Amino acid sequence: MAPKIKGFMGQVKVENVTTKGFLGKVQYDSVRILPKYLDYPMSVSPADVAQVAQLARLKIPEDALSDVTDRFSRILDMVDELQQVDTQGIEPMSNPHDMVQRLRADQVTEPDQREALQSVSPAVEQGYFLVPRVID
Amino acid sequence: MNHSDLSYASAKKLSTMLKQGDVSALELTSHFLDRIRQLDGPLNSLITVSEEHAITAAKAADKALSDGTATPLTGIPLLHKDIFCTKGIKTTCASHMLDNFVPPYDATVVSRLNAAGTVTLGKTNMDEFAMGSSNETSFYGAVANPWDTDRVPGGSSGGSAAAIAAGFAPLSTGTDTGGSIRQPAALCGITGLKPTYGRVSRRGIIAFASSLDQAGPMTRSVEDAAMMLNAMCGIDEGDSTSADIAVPDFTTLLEQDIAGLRIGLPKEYFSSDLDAQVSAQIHAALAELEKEGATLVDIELPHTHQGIATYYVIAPAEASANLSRYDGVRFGHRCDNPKDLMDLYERSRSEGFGDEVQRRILVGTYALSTGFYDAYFKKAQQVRRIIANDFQRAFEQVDIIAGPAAPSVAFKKGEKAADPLAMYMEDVYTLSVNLAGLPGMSVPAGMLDGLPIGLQLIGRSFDEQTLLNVGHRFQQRTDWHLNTPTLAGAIS
Repeated sequence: MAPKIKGFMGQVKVENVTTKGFLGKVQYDSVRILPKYLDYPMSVSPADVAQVAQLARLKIPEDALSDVTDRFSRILDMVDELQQVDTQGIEPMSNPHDMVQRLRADQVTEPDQREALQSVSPAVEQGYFLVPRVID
Repeated sequence: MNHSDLSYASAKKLSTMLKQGDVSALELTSHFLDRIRQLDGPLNSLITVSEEHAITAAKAADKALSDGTATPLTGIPLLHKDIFCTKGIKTTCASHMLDNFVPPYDATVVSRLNAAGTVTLGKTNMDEFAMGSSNETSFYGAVANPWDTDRVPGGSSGGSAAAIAAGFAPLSTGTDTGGSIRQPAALCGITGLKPTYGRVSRRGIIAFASSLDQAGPMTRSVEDAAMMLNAMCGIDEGDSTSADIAVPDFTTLLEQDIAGLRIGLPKEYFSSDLDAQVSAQIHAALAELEKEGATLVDIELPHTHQGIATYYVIAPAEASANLSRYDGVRFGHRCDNPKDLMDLYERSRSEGFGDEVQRRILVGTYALSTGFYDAYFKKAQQVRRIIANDFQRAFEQVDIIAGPAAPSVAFKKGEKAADPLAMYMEDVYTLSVNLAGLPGMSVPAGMLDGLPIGLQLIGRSFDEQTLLNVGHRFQQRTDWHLNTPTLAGAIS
C-alpha cells in the first residue's frame, strides 16, 4: 500500500516486527519510508484502496473501485497541504481544552438493562448475540 | 391570534402566552403538527413525526402550567435533529444503517429539554451521520430550502434549519462538527449557535468526530437561543469530556451595551473565496455593530485554509473509529444470509452506509494506518494546535471575531453533490472554530436574490455570553431575522 512518492523522500524508520510463521515466532526488521515531503500528486492505486476497505470492513464493488480510488486520491492530494506547515516541536492536540480523562469512583452505577439494549439487536437468543458460525 | 402568527412567534412570546392561558400546550402542539403535515412534503425536513409522544408531553406541560411547576420552556414545541437518541422514538442519523433503530435511552440533551417541559414534535432530516454540507447525503432524501425549494438548506443540520425557517417549531436542536449548525442556519436565514466544546453533553448523540462534535440551539432569534441553551448546558457524568464549568443564565446579559467591544475581522475570511456580494452585505452588517459603538479591528488567522486539510484528516479518522461499532451484530442493519463473520461485517456495513460515509471511513482508516499515522493524523493534530494558537493570539487583540458563515448563499441541489472537494469548501469559515473548540454563532444578516446570508460571530472559549449579547443587539437594530419565506414551493 506504499504511495507513489515523487521527489524528496522522508525519513526511514526501522521497526522490529514479530510475526508467527509455521516454525513459530520470527523477528525481523521492517524498513518503512515515512513521507516527509511529497511531491504532488500523491496517488493511491485501486489495490491500495481495496486493502484500506478491507481494514475498514467495507466491500467496494469491482465496478466502483476506480471511481472510489479517484475521489480518494483527490482527497489525499488536498490534505497534503498539511505538509507545507512547519510543525517541528508542536505538541499534537487531541482535545481543544487539552483535557485529560476524568476519572470516577470504581463503582457500579449502571443497572442491568440487557433486555432493553438487546431489544434493538438483529439476532438474539437467550441474552446472547447471534453471529454466523466462527469455529468449524 | 391567527395561525400564521403562532407559526412564527418566538419561544419567548409563546412562553408568555402559555403562562397567561392565551393558548394551551396541546393547542400549540396540534397547530404545529398540522402545519408540518400540510407543508413538509416538498421540504422533507422531518424524518419522523412523533405525534403520540408530543400529545402526551403537551398534556403534561398543560398540567405543569396549571399547577405552577412550569419553566420558561414548558409547553414549547421543539424538534430534535435525528442524531439525538430519543427513547421510544426512531433515531436514524439519516442512515439506512439505523433505519430500524429505536433507542432504549434519551440523550442527555433530550432528557434535559424534556425535564424543562418542551414538547418533541419529531426528528429532523440531516446529512447521513452528519457528514455533509447540503443535506443531500440523507438516506431519506434531500431537504429543500424553504426560501427556494430547488436549493439546498445546507448541512448537516439542514432539516432543523429548514423546519425552523418554515415555522414548524420555534426551537430545534442541531449538532456542529465543522459548521453543521452555523452553515445551514446561514443558508436558511435562522439563528444557530455552536457552543464551546464541552459546554453541552454529547451523551446519546450519535458520534461522528468526538473531539469536534457539539450540540446547540437552532432558533429564529438570539433571545430564544439563549433561553434554549440554558436548558442544554452543564457537566454530565455520562460524558467525560463535558466541562466542569459554571453555566451562567444566558438570558441575563443580552441587553448589555457593546460600546467599546473590539470585533476582529480575519482578512482570510474576506478573501477571493468569498462571494463579493455576500462580502458587501457582511460589511454592511458589521457597520451596524459599529453604530452600537463596537470597533472593527483587522486581524489574521493565517492557517484558515490549512484548516480544511486538518479537518478532513481528523474528522474522518475519528469517524472511522466511531463508526466501527456498526458491525451488524449488536444493533443497526444486518445483511441477509451472511456466509461467515467477515461477510456479515463487510456486507452489513457496505449496505448500511452511503457513499460519503464510506468515503470518510476509508480516508480515516488510511490516515490512522501504520506508516501513515505520523504523516497524516499526528501532523493534522499538530496543525490543529497551530490553528488554535492563531485564535488565541487574535483574542489578545479583540473580544470577538466576525465574518461570513458560508462562502455563498444556498446553492442548487446537485450542484456540488458529485464533487466532495467542492462540498468541503463550504465549511472553510466554520471548521477551524471546531478545531479550536470555540463557540460560534450565525445570525441572519442580509438577503441576496431572495436568499439569506449569515453573519458568523466567534467567541473566546466558554464565552457564549458575549456572542449572544452581540447577536441580540444586532437583532434589536435589524430585522433580517424576522424575514420569513413565502413557502411558495411547499404550497402546491
